[in-house]
Amino acid sequence: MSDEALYDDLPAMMAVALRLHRAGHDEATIAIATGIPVEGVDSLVRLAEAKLARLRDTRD
Amino acid sequence: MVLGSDGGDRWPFRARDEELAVVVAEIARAEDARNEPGGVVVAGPAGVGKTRLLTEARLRTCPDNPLVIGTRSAALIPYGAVSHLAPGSSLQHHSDAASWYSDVGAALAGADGHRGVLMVDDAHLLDGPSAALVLHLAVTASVTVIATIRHGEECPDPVSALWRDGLTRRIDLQPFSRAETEALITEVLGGPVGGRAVQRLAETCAGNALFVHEVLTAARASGALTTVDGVWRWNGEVPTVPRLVDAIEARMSGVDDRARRALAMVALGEPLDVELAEAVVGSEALAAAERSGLIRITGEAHSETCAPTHPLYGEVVLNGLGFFERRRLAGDLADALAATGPSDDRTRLLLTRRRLEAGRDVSAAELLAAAVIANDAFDFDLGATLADQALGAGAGALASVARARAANALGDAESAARLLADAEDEILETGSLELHERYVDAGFNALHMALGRSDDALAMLERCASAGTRFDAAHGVALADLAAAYRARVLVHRGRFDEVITLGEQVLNRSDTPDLARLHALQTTGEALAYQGRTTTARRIHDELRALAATGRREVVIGAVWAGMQEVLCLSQEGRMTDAAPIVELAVEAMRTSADEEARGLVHVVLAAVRLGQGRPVSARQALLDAIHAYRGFDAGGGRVWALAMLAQAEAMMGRAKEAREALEACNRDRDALGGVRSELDFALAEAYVAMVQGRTTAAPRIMLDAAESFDGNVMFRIRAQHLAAVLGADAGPLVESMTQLAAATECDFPAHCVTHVRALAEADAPTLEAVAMSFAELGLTLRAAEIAAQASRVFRAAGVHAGAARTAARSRAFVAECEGSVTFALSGLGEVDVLSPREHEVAEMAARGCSNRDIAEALSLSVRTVESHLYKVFAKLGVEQRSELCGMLVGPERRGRSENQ
Repeated sequence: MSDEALYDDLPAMMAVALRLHRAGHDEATIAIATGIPVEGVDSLVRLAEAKLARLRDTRD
Repeated sequence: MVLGSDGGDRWPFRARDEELAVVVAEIARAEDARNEPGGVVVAGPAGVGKTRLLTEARLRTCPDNPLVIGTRSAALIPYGAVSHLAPGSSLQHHSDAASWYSDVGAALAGADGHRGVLMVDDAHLLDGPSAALVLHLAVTASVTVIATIRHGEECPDPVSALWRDGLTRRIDLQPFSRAETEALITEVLGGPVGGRAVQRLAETCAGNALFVHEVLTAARASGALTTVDGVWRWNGEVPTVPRLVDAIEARMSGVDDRARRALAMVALGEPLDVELAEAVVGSEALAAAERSGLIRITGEAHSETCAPTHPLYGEVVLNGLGFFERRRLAGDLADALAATGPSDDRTRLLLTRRRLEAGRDVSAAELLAAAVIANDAFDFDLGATLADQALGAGAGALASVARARAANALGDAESAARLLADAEDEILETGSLELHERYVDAGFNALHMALGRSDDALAMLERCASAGTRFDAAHGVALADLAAAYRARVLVHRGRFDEVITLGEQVLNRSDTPDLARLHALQTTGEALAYQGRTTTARRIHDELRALAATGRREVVIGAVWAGMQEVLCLSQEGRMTDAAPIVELAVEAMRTSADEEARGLVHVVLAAVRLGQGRPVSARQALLDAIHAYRGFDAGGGRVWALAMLAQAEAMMGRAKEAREALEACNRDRDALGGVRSELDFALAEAYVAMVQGRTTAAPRIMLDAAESFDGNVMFRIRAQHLAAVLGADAGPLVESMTQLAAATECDFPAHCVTHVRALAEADAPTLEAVAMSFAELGLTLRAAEIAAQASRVFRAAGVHAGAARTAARSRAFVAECEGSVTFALSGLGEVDVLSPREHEVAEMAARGCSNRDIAEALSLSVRTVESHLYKVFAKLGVEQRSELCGMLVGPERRGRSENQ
């Protein structure tokens, strides 16, 4: 199953953060888009990656 | 975990594994990096689960450490929140704060000198000095700080510095996704939850763990959430939950009146156009509400709308308004809407509702238009209310049609039929084709679909067609075509498929056929073609349906959905369940959020049909319970009795004789009135399966043979009934010729497969039976493949071909293992085939995966000779000669366990 198909099962802001991150946007942009401080962006993206990996494992 | 009726059991910790792992890992990292600050600040809105995450981290890392909790009352006392951290020491005994801070740090350190962990809940509520202490302990790396803060609350500077200065990581805890909410709800309720119930709960709670807890507890207590046939269903409104209201009120405690008024206005108009919102409450109030986290902006640039951040915020603030205040707000909103002019149906409906709420005069025409819009949006309760008001205001026959449509959907077809009969003369006097179309549709749904009075429906269609001559030629042709298209639906229901195809051709071959009549003609013709096995021709009809839908006209866009469902029907007639399943799964997913109960019921019935074909009774049962629930208001065209017939099959396939009989009895109560030919095959199958599960094994094939006789002229029903009779044990020989003739009239291969199967049975041709079993398995007809493999095994055994008997028996068992615990008569008598020992199974699995004997020997610490010996026995027991044949014949321990448990 593609990652794109799994995004819908992530919390909405995590999906937004991950899409922007993978599209090459910087942390400041992601912070504005998700409404969290820039200091929280790195954790948000990492958590999103981890949740996506778990979803991928579950579906495979 | 099952929630106690008082909601008091411990709540499961779900969907936070990754966040917990980050916190625990950070504590370990800080422990290793002795002199570096470390920790985590967990931020998030109220109720999202911050405290629970902190508690779980504490339980796993430092359960005995004291906890610091920020509160509004302790915030008034300097060091009020942290005074308990160093019991033997107090600030008064120290000359300066720094030396007392050191004592606190030492008190928190582990007995073995490990760095302490300081857990602070609601750190945004710490008093200034307590916050300074926490910051000092973090800066000096005396402790690892794990703290929670709430979004939208002002934090003391020392707390903000924790993450701003890089002393700790910051995690912004997110509300649960829909899938996470569903998993939590299912776990808490301890059983499957209906799709609508999940949808309702997910929408209401918006991923907030606290809200899920409170709403679930209250819904169970109020009876809004109950189990029906083992599935949790939602039946009612979201109950008012005092604790939830308290929690939301607490959340809004610091919010000023302007922001509250802005929230109330946004809730009244949700979603409210941004410019309109600014006009009616002012940008300052909106900005205040946005700053307080009460409203959010969505939509594209230049067409933004605002809505409450959480659905319950709006509900709570509106419930808190007095009668006159709410009436005044509704009036302000109505005036603003009227001034800008409603831009679409949604805002037109909103304007009417707010005018009514504000006590303003609303014209009959406006009420009627609003009723039609509400019906089109599947809000039939609102449609009925508005139509009643329109009738009262003198809207006349037009309002009767809108009211009848709502009554149909609300399960009161008798009233609908009565209303329409009373208004028919007036309706047919008007020159509005749109009204006539709506009248025909509502009348047909009441008389034919809901009440089973097909002759009355046909008479009504005839009167409409005749009335067309009073108007211009185009109007007359349109009405005649429409009547013909609806008449075709009755003919489909009665199984007169060839007549439907002829009628459809007449309508479709003309270039001036109106779109709505064309839509119905395409639907009925496509369906009739599929039931006659003419699937190639049917697919050309599907292309036309899609093309018509692509024109975008509101009345015909549904054609795209029908085309999808008809493709599934074709695939089912072709036996191609593997291909049909993903299409119908997508349709079910797309309908999850739909308010169109009739369409939702239909897609679940179709899904169940595919699941039964695949031999998956447990999944089929789940879909059928969803379908029956969707049809509770309006049994469209016998959909509910059809679902009950399939439910009886599913229960019988699961070996549940009592439940199967009950479903069949429920089906039979309404079957004569509402059942049509479409469902006749399933009625017969239900009778036959119930007979089998009751041990009346000779009755089952007779039932299917009788059904086949009754399907005279219906190609696929007849051939499938004959085939199933043979599967269930009927004498195959006499069936071959009739089935061969029928198969020749179709445009697909599946009937020919069925003929091959029946002929092989008649001729006791075991190799052909084995080949047919494999072809059925490839199509996705897994249970049928298992039954045919079992037949092959019996024939092989009777012929003394022991290897063949063993091989096909093993195949049959492997297929059955995929069938969710199905038990059917046709699987009996597989013979005394040796079961593989656990070690033999292990060796066979590896061999089937392509491992060499040496690989297997090394992996299992055996000699190559022992592996060879095991494989020799495996080959003998399974009747195979090569390791490549092992693939697909092994029932793994995990799969065995699963099927036994179901």
